[in-house]
Amino acid sequence: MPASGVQFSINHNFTNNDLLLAYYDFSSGTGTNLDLGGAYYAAIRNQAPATNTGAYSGIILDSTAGSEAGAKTFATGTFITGSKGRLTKSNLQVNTPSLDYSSLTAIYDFEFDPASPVNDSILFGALEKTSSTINGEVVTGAKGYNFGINSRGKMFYQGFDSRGDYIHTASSIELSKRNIISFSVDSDNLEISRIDHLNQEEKKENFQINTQYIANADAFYIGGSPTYYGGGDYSTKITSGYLNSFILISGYLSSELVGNVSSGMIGEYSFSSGASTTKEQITGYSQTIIYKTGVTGYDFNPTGTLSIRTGREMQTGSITFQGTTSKTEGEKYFKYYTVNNGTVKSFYKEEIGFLHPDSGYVYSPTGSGAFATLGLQDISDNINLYLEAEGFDNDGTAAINLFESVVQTGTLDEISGVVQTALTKTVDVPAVPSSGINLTGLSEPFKKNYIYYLGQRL
Amino acid sequence: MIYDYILSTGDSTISGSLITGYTGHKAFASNFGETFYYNDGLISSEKEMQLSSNGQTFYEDIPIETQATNEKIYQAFSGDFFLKTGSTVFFDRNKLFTSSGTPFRAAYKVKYQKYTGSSAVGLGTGSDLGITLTSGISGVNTSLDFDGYDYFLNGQKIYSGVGIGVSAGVGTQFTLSFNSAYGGVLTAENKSNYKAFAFIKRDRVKQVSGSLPDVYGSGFIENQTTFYLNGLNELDENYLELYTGVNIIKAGEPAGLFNFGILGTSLNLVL
Repeated sequence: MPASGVQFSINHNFTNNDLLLAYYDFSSGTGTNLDLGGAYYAAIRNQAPATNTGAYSGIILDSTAGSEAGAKTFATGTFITGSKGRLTKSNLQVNTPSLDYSSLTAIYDFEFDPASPVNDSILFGALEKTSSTINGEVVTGAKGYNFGINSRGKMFYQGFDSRGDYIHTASSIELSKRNIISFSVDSDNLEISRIDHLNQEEKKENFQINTQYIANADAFYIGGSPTYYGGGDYSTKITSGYLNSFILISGYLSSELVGNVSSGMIGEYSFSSGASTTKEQITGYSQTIIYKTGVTGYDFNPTGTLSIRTGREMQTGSITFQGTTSKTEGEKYFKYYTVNNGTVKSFYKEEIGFLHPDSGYVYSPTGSGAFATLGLQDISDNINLYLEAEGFDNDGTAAINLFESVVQTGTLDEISGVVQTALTKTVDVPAVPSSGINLTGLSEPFKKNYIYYLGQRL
Repeated sequence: MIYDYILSTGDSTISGSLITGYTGHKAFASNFGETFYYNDGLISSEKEMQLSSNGQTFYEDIPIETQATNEKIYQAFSGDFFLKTGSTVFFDRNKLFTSSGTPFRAAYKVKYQKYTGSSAVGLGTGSDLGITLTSGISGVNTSLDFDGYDYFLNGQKIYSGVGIGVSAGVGTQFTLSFNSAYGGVLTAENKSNYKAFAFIKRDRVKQVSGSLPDVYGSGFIENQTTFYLNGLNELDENYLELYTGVNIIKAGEPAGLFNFGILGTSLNLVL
């Protein structure tokens, strides 16, 4: 039921229900709560969650009949049909002996009647022009104001202040077939809103008005107005559409709050007791110290042996004939001399230039060149070749073992970290109730259905 | 003139029609000079954006990232723009990076929409563009037929028989062609001048295309509409989303009346 949805949205946004002055809901159809007046008229009873349900009933003006039954028949058979309050059948009068009109919010779940084109509609009609003669001058004043929809489908606000009559129109807001719309008035500010629940956003326009000039009216009307620029009086049925529900709130509600509250008007309260479950809960941690690993030492494996010859290499003092070789006169060579006294054998050598035995050992230059100037001749002869004999003193061999190093690894004494392991236990999670509003209503009336290309028309 | 409206229909219930996950949300890219920025709160990862600049739809590429010394190098080969949504520097996080040939000028109106479908791209370089795009589509999805996609040629939306057609195959096994036999403009000589891509159509939408500028009687969710005029993505401000019963009056005229006591000028509004 929307009433429970409104109850939830009010409780969710305010500390109590005191601000909720009036709430009408027509979704119960013929079961809608009615007050039947002594003058044989029917009225829509203000209902909970509004706190003062004894006030702000909406008198169905055209329900006046000769009997209560007749009034009720009109209310439930003509005015309320199809779970909608049909403003084409009657206007509603809401008496407001102590309502502050200068600080007020009204929210409507309003729907156009597809059987008729969009026409001027008064959803809050309270503007009442008054005049009095003071010192021979006619002074005009006014009570209340009007809120409605013009024939272009735009919301408007009609008021009166020191400048005279004025109308503010929310030109930027296009309406759908069904709309959650509102106006809020307070502190020289007027906010006109349409709540777009499909896009979860609010469309609004704000206007500066002079709320000091708003006098309280004795009643407001839904469907008509005592003073309207189109003419007629409070009983003239101006509005061509349906009312699904209506909320009147004392004080100023921003469009954001209107959006929150209005979700209860089009949705249903939902409650889930939830279900108990279990879950693993951490009770502590066990710690494991992790030590570093690395090189702990080396092992040596034999890989073979190495033999080294010992002793000192030295000359024996002997020379050994090795044959002959040819030397040209002037060429240098070593001439060996041996010493042998029986116990000591040795030799020594002398580097000398070779002279041919046949040269006569006479200086006889043969020309002007370097060779010829020295008196040397281009002749050669053989000389003996000797090899200086060498040997080892204290000759022998030594064997040496060879090894390779092998790295040994393992755990070191140094700590590298600590591993924590969660310790858990299974605990019971009790059921957690949840509540909210399910927007289960049909979406189609809230949609647009007409695209108008401005292209060449601009 | 081809008027093409894509209308989000939602579900039958209000709950089923709520805008969720920001899908369908539209926004304009702000700019400083010719550098444009998007809302990274709305677009949080790659391939979530349908973007158009002055009506021309662009294709988002996933860049190839190469880590170099002290910098990351991004390369895009087939798309018109890309985003850096990963671990990138703060100032690049909500910036649109465009290819050199992508026309982004300071005065352009660049708008984008959250898109959670998939897309494919085909490049007409060195091979037949229809076959290339067919291959690109099959690499993304093989369960949809020809009507399951919106097709674009150089950023202009094209339609069956008007720019594109099926040259072979049936059902989900189709081969695209952009040749004149299918209302296309590609020839052997000019095919390297074109780039084609396709987006999978979103769910729960109604597409109305034809020669009439206005659409009546089809319920749609306000603000969740897209309009192409001759294949160019038009601004939302070029059309009104209304309820059928309202009267149409000339736009731009103030509807407020003030100071009844003062004589004003009579104005006839055009219906």
